[in-house]
Amino acid sequence: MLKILLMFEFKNLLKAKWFFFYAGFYFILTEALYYFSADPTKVYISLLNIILIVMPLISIIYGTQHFYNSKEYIQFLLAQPIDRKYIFLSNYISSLLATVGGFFVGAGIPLIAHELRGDVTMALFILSAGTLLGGIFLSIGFYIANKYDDKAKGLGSALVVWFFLCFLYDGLILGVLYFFSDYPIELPALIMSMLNPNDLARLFITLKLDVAALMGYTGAVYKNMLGTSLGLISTVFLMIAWFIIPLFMSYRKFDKKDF
Amino acid sequence: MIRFKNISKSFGSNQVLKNVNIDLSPSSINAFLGPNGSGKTTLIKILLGLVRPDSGDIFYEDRSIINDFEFKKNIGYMTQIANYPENLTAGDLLSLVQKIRACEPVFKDELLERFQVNDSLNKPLKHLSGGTKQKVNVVLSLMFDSPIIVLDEPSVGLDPQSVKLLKEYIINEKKRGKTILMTSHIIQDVNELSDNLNVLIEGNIVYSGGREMILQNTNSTSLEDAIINIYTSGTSC
Repeated sequence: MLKILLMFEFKNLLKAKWFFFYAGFYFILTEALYYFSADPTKVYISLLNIILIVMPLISIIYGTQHFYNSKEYIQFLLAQPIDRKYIFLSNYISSLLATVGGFFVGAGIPLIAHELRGDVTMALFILSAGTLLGGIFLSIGFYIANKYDDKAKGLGSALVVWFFLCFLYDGLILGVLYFFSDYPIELPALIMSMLNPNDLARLFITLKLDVAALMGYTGAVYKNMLGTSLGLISTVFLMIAWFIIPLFMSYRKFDKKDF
Repeated sequence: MIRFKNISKSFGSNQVLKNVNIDLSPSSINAFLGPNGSGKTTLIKILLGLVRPDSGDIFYEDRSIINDFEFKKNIGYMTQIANYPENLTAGDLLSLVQKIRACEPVFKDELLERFQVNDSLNKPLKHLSGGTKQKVNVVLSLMFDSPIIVLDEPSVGLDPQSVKLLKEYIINEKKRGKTILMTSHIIQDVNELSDNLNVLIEGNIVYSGGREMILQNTNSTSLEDAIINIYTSGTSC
């Protein structure tokens, strides 16, 4: 049943202009970064900075908006002999393909093409970080849309969550570091960073790029704790947890929701 | 036979349905009427599995159907708002439902011809007018030989000729033994189609019975007056 619904959703997606527009945006952006800089590290850092802002915003808004716009279609499907979980999954997977798929194709083609003779591993790390980040914020968007029936409230909440996790949270960590600068605060600050998916994605890439030293003593602590294989696995594990937990919570909401 | 037994539902502190009991027989058209917010749509949505009741159950041929998604094979549902993925064609949509149900849409060709949808089958839904989308909706809900048909404001958005065709079709389906549920604010539709009227006010069934009885009980000469009398008095008759 999931296959039937997905085929229908994919067909709809391929006929929509959004996917090609979004993939095109990342393609032009990545190509432009390579055009202006010969140093791949600078390209990665610039791309990462854009991904850390754009990917969460697009994913959370797309997830929320798509769910509200599909409400009548979901109601129609619910009146058919289909298990609710397949309706939820088809909706989620098609949204994932529209957002993360667009990024993967758009940024992936130039990254891999330019790095075929260079550091393909780093290109794959960037793609993985962007993919996970997109999946995480899409899950959060779905959770918000399932929680609030009011579209304005849902979209407003999605923007607040995005703003908090992408901007305010780092300000909070900086505040903590400043006010408790006389104390060995690095470990609590590291734990705080790991509770934010955006910071996790940033750490995941910057530690691989050997630019952690630029972050001073804190960077050295991060490098020491997360620069190892265990640290890397922990970072990926936490990002997957950030992906799965909101997804599971939104499925629970969807399963009990009155349409 | 469909039996709604002690159905109650609240949305927060607002109790929308209060211990509703109704029996619906085969070969009947059952209209659900009531002012806005009276609970009629919620009751229909509970049958369709869109809303879960707080308490009570629905039985179809003595089998509980709450949480049974397979039961929906027995229902043809016509939504009030036809809003589907816009990039796909009406043909794609019909094919999707056919695959989901995995059964032959025995009346598809007849309905496509009757409602003149054939020419629109290959056009994206976003290029179809509201009326044509509603005709696609009619085909979707009636193309299978479902024993239960649920129509939510069926004549809204249709041209007079299509409304007439739809009414004839519904009456014919009733004669073929189907149980038909219908919500409508258009008294003319209710008057022409329904055998049984179920009037809901603030979550209670205040009237359930035939058309003649409602006229008699409310001392009214027209169905419109009778229904308005019930709405304004808000009591059982």
